Amino acid sequence: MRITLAGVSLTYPARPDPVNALAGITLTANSGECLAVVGASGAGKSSLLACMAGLLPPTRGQVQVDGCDLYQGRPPRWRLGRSLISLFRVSPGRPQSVALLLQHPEQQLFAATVFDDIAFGLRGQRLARAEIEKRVAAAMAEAGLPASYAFRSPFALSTGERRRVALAGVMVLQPEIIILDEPTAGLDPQARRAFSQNLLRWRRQGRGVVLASHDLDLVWRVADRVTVLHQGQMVATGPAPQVLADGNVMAAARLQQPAMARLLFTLRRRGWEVGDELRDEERLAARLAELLACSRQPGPGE
Amino acid sequence: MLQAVNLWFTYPGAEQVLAGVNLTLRPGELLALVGPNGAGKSTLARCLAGLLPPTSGNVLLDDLPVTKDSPVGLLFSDPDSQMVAPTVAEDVAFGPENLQLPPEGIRMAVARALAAVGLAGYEPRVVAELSGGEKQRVGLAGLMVLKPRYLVLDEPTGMLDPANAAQVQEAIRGLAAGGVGILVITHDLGMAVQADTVAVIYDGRVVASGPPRKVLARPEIEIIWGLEGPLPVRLVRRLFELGVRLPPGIWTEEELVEALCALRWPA
Repeated sequence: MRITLAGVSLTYPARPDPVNALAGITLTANSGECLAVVGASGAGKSSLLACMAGLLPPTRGQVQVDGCDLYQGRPPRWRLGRSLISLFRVSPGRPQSVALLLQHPEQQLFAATVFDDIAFGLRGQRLARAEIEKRVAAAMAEAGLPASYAFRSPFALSTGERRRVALAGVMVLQPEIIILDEPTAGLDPQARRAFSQNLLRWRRQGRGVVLASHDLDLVWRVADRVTVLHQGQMVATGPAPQVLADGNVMAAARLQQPAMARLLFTLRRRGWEVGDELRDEERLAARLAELLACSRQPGPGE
Repeated sequence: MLQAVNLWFTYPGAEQVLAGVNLTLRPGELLALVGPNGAGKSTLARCLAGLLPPTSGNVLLDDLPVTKDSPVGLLFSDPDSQMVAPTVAEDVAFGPENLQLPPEGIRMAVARALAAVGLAGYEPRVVAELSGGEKQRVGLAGLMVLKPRYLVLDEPTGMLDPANAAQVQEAIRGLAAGGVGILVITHDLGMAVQADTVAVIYDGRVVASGPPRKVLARPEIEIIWGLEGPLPVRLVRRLFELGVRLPPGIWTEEELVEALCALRWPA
């Protein structure tokens, strides 16, 4: 599955002098890969994601899902499951193709219990009760929610826990491409780490992930490709390590490089053989230990 | 001093959230409160600001119980949900106007409060057109105009990009330097390390508090409390597990790189 944006521009008309939220964005997102959209506040990240998810028709340009235009011609068969999930059907027989988790999903829960909230998107799919229970339990585990939370009120949970409920509500639909707007804001580091493991697992399962985030350390860990936005313009797009380690690009978009990218750069300058393929600290630590062990062993002839 | 003394709190019909919190915030102190999701951070913030009455125990301001009228200000993380007026001047003046202070005094107090957060001259600006970091600083000014002695900030930079977060952090440090005692809830241990004191809340109790570098270097931080130190600290721990011994006290990237080079290429 592939979402293609071709020359997408978006102007919000309500303003006195219209601002181009997006200007001529051309981009693809594919199943089986993680695309990260980064940029300072107001760069156009959320607008881009909403265009991609079928929620916001662009002023100019096209958005296609597997070659079908989302906004033109025959109205796309999409529906709004609930405020935080947009589901659209691209063709019959492919029910949930794309799911979107908006910003602040913790404020958008509505059901009396965690179970009902997560199961909401499954209602109307005529699934057996047992199947619904199985899927909800799996989604809860995936989002890091203890099973005992199923019959608690989502309103008695903390912000971070409510966020996990919202995430489980999307995962339970098993979307082919999942679009996430700032998914880790308000999560504690352990939850963030678990979340990045989830992202990597979804990708291994062949799902696509589109992610807008300020958390560039997360982006460094999980993204295959990165698109950098600044004031609605695409500043750069390409392989994640290459883009994130490019000081000029990041400065132009008023962003800091991820901590790992900075550290790898400094280490290389001091003579350490460490490449950008070391995306997480486990692998970097292993590589550093290996290099230290080598240099401590006397070489041949010594 | 603003103190929580053996503070317990249970939401009606729900589980117990705070289970005997003891915590002291002094004038001019910047205290970072860290802890995993669901540990009780936001509940403690509301108790300290007098918005939630303790189930048992006390919240005391100079030995008297705190009420919602005590000079303790509370700020949340979402900049958009706490703006009340169209312009900056009106938004900041909202509190003192409700107290029916004289308009001339309000105007001067608003100007002073805005200057204190680095927004001097912002009075006529339209709130909706400000960046997230500016909005959070307007929120801070709206608290400062009421001359609070203590501020409780619940993840004030949680929804901001790094540039905006840095502006808000600078404003917070400035206010603490001016004598206001500030408790700031954060997940960013890089920010916590710059505070005067760090307290860790876990499962409704304060399980550690003290100087940041001491508290945040404890092994429980990651393993038990589910928090995460900055990258160099995490790498030192992983390297230790792999049998590489680096000297203690490494906190920054520079310190880490120096220590690694010294180990690999001894002078």
